Amino acid sequence: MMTVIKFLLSFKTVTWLFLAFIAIMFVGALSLSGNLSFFSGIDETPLFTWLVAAGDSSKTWWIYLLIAMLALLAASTIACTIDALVNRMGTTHLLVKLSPQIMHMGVLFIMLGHLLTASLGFKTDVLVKKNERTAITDTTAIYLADVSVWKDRQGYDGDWAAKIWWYDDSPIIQEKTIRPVHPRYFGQFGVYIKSVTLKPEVSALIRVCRDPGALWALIGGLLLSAGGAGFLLGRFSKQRQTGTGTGMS
Amino acid sequence: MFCSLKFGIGDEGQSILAIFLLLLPAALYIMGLMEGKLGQRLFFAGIVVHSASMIQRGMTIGAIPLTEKHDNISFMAFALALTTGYFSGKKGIKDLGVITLPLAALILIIASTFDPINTISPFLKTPWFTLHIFVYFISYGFFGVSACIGLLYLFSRQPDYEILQYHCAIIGWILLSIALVLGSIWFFIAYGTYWLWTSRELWTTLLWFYYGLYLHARYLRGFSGRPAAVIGVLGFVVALFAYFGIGTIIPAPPTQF
Repeated sequence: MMTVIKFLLSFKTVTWLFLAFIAIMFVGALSLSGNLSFFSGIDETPLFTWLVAAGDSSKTWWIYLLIAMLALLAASTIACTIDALVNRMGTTHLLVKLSPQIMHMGVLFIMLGHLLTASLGFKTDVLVKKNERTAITDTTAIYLADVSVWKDRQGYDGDWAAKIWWYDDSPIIQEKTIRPVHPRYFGQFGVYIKSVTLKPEVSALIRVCRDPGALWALIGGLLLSAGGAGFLLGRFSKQRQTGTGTGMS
Repeated sequence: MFCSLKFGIGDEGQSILAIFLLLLPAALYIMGLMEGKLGQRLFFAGIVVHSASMIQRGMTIGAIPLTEKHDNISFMAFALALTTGYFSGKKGIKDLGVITLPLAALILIIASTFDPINTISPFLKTPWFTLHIFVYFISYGFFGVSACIGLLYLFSRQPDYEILQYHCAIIGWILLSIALVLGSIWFFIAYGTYWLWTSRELWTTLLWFYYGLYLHARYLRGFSGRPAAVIGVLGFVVALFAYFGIGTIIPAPPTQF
C-alpha cells in the first residue's frame, strides 16, 4: 500500500503521466482529424455508448488510453491533495497554500462530471413537425406548437424560436418557448433548439439531453476558477506584504 | 451592446475600413520600437487606433466584436500589445517590445487577411460566449509576453527574466482555465454539452496540460534556467498552433471563430 501511495505522490509519476497524456492527446488529435467521418457521431451519443457501437479499436485505442491516464492522474491528484492538506499546511499564507488544492479538487470534480456524462448521459436530436407529437423516451414526448424566425440586417435568419409542449408522466402538459442559448429544462431533461425550417413544412430540429455530469463539472469549474483566482490574489497580497518581486517564485 | 452604425458607407467600404484600421495600428506598433518618447507615443497611438478599430467593428455588427476570426485575431494582438505595455512600463523590461510588437503587428496582418463577417449566429449571442473569448485571448496575451520574456532570458541570461516568464505563464494559465470553464458553460446552454471531441478542443486541452506540466515542474521542483525557459517559449508555439493550426494545417469542421 505504501508503495502505491509513494508511486502516486512521486513527482516523477506526475511528470510522466502529464507527458503520456499530452502525447496521447497529440496522437488522438491527429487521428481524429484524419478520420473525420468515423468520428462524426462521437458527440451525438454519450462517449461510452459510442465507443461500444463504434467498435474499430484501431481508431479508438487512444480514447481508452486517455481514460486510463485520466484515472491515474485522478488517483495521483487525490493522493497529492490529501498529502498537501495533511502535511504542508501552515498558518501563514493559507490562501496561497490552499488554492492549488482547491484547483486540484476542481479538476477532480470535472473528471467526475465527464465520467458521469460519458456513462449515464442521454442525448438525442429529433426533427419535430408543427402540430405533431414526437416521442423522446418511453415516458416523454414533444409537441411543436409554433415556430418563429427573425431576419437580421443582412437578410439571414438572425434568431428563431419554437413553442413546444412537453409531455412526461405528470398529468400537466408544460408549454415553453425555446430559443438558441435559451434552453428549457423539464426535470432531468434539457431541451435545446438547433434549427428551424419553414418550407416545405414547418419543423424544428430539437436536441433533448440528460446530463448527470454537468452539475459536477460546473462545480469543478467553479472550484478551478476560484482556486486560480485565490492563488493569484494570495500571491499578490504576499508580494505586497513582503515587498519583494512578484512573490510568485 | 454597441448601437449599429454604418457611417454612411456600404458593406465593402466597411470591410476596407476594417482592414485599414488593422494595418494602421500594425504599422504604429512597429514604429513604437523607436527610441525614447517618440517610440512610446507611437506605441500609444497604435493602442488608440487599434481600440478605434474594435469600436468600429462593434458598431458595424452591433455587438462586442469577438464573434469571428477577423475580430478575434485582432483582439489577440490587442491583448498582446496591452500586456506588453504593462510589463514594459511597470516591470521596466524595455527590450520586450522588440519581440512582442512585431509579433502583434504580424498577428494584426493575419487578422486583416480574414474577411470581417457581419452576421452573428444566435448561438453566440450570450455573455458567456463573449466572456469566454475575452478571457481566452487575454490569456494568449500573457502566454505571448511570457514566451517573449523567455526569449529575452535565453539571449541575455538575466535570471529575473526567467522568473518573470514563469509568473506571466501562471497568470496566462489561470486565465486559460477560467476561459475554458466559461466556454463550457456557454456550450452547455447553447448545445446541451460542455465538451466536444473535436481537434480544437483536444488541442486546447493539450495546451492546458502542457502549461500545467511546465508550471508544476517549475512550482514544485524549482525546474528553472535554460530548459524551463525553452519549454515556456514552446508553450506559446503550442498556443498559436491550437488556434491557427486547426482548420488550416489540421482538418477540422469549419467554425467562424
